Amino acid sequence: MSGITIDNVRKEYDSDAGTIRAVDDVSLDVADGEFLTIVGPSGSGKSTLLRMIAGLEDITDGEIRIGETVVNDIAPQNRGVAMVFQNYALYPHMSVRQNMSYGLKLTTDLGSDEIRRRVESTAEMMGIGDLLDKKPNNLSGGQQQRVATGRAIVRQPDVFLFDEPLSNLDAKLRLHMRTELQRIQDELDTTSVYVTHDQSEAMTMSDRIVILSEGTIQQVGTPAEVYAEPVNRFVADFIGSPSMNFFDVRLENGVLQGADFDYEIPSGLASTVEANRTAENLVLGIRPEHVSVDTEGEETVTATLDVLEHEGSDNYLYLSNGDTEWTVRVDGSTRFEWGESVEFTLPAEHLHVFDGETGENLVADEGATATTDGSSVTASVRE
Amino acid sequence: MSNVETTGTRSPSRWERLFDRSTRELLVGMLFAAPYLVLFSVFLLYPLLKGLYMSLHEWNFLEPSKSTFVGLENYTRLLEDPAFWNALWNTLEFVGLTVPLIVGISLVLALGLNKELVGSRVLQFVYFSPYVLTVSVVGIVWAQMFAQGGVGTQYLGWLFEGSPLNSKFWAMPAIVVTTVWWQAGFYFAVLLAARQNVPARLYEAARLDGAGPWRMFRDVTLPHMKNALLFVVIASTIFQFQVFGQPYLMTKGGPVGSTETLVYYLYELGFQTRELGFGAAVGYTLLLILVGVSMLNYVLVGTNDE
Repeated sequence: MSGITIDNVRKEYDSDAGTIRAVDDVSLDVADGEFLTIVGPSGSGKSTLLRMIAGLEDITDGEIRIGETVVNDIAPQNRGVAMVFQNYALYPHMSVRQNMSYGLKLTTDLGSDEIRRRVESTAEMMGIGDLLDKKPNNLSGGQQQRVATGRAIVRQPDVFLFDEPLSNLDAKLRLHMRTELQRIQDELDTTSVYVTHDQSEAMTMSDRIVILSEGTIQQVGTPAEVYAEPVNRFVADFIGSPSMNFFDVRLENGVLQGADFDYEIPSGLASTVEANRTAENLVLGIRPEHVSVDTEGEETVTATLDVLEHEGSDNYLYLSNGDTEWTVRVDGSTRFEWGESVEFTLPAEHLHVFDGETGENLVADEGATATTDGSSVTASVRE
Repeated sequence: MSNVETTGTRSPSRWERLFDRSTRELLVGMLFAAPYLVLFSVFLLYPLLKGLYMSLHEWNFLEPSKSTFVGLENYTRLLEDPAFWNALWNTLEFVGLTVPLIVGISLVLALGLNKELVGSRVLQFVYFSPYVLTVSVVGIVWAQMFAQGGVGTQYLGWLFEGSPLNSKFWAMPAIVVTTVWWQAGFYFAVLLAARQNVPARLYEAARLDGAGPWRMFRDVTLPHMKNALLFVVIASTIFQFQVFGQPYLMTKGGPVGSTETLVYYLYELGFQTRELGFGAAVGYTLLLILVGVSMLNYVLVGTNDE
C-alpha cells in the first residue's frame, strides 16, 4: 500500500475562449491507508484531479507520486490504482464474473483458478456472490454499484479512486452504500481518494476532506475542522446543511452592525477581527444549529417565524426581521407557531466573521474556538 | 375557499354509448394504421401475391386472362437454366466482394474519423457525399473513368489492357469498386454514429484494467457496435443482391454475361423476352435467397441480448 503525494499540480485546457485552468497549483499529501474526500461544486476541478491521479488526464505541470514512484508518465494500468466510476462503467456484454476478472487477466499472470477464487471471495464480501453469471443490465443500480466496487477491490490495488460512485443511487441506498464503503475501507485499509459534490457524504465518510473551488484548494482538514473552523466563506457556505447564515456587517467599537441588528462581540474577538481585516465591510456567519432559542437571561434578537419545517428529530425555522432572513435549527420537540415572534441568541463560540473583500475567516482560530468561556454575544435589534 | 372550479359528471356521447372503451381504442388504433395499411396493400402486398401467382403461370403479356397455370414448372426450368446459374453466381460474386469491402472500409473510416481531428468534419462530409448521387450519375461517371483512355483506366493500366469493362475478369471488380465508392459513405455514417455512442467511461475503465488498443477494440468497441454492424451487413447484403443499375449502365451485363446479375437477368426476361411468369419465378427465388441470407446473418452475428 502507498500514500499519494501531489506536488504543485496544474491542469490547463486550451479552448476557443483561451486557456482554462481546471486545477491550479494543488499540493496535497494523502497518507497510507487514509480515506480522503475531495469535495466541491461542479467545475471545481475535483474529478480532473482524481483523473490525473488515475492517469486518465495528463498533467500540465507538477508531480504526482504514488508511494515513492513518480507516476506522471506511467500508464494508468501500471499505477496500482483502481477506480470506481460514477456510472459504474461496467462492460455490458460481459457477465459480472467477467467484469471482475477482466483486469486481473490483463495485468497479472495469475492462473484462472486463482482469478476465480479471488473474484468469488470478493463477490462474497460485496454480497453479490449469486450475481456472478448475470449481465450488468439485469442488475439494479445498487447491485451494479457493488459490482463496480468489487471490480476495483479484486485487483488489490495500492489506491482506490472513487468518482462520485453513489450519486446515481436513490437516497436510502446511498446512505446504505456509504456505510458499506466505509466498512470495506476499514477492512482493507487501502488508501482511498473519494470525489463527491455531496458535502454530507464527505463529512460522514472521510478521515480528511479537501474542499476545492475553481481548481484551488480552499481547505484541508478533518470533517470536524472544516465544519467548526472554515477558513473562508466558501468553505463555511459549502460545508453544513442547511448552510450557514450570512449577514453583511460593519464593526464599530466592538459592535457588529448589521442591516437590522447590532451585536456586541467579546473584546478579544473584536480585536482579532480588527487586526486581520483588510476591508471595512465584514460578513457575520453562524450555523442554523448554533443559533440558540434558549434565551433566559440573555439579550436577544427577535424575528418573526415565516416558515416552519418539521423534519422529525429537528424543526427548521425560517425567520425574518426587516430584510434580514435567518435559518434556525431547533429540537423537534420545540414548538413554534407561524407568525410568532421568536427570540434567540448567538453564542460567541460559534460565531464566524469573514473579511468582506477576501472572504477569509478572520476568527478561524478564535471565533469558533477562542471564546472558551462560553459567553454569548450581546445582541440587540436595531430600531 | 378554493377558487378551483369543479366539473360535474357529463353524460356519455353517442360514440361512447355505441362502443365500450376497448372497442373505441381498437377503432382509433385501426384508423391511425389505415393509411399505411392501404399503401402497404396496394404497393407491397398486392405485387407480392401477384408475383407469386404469375410465377405459377405461363404469363400472357398481352392478354393476362389467357395465361396458363403451369404449377412449379417455371421453378424447375429455372434450376436447369444455365443463364440463371450464371446470374446467381455473378450476383454472389458481386455481393461477396462488395459487402466485406463496404463493411471493412466504412468501419475503418468510422473508427478513424471518430476522433476530433482537424478536418475530420470535412472528411466526414467528403466520404458521405457520393451516397447522395443517383445510380445513373454514378454509373455514367465510373463507366467513363473505366472506359478506354478514362482516368481510372490510365492509372490502373498496368493491371489490364484496354478498359476493364471489356475484360471478362476485370469487369465485375470495376463494378464492385464503383459500388463501394458510391455506398460506403452511408454505412460509414451509420457506424460513426454507433461508434460515437460508445460511452467514453468504458474506455477509461478498460485502460485502468490494462487493455491496449486491440483489446479495447475487441472488448469495448465491437460489442457496442454489434447491432450497427449487423444492420450494415444485412442492409448492404440485401441491397447488393438487387444490383442492377451499375451493370446496366456500365457493361450491359457483359462481357459474355460476366456481369449479368439476377435482377439484370430478371429485367431481360421481363422487358426484353417478355417471359413474365418465368421472370416472376426468378424474382421469387431472389426473395427466398434474401430471406435466407437475413436469417443466416442473424444466426451468425447473433441478436441483441443486452
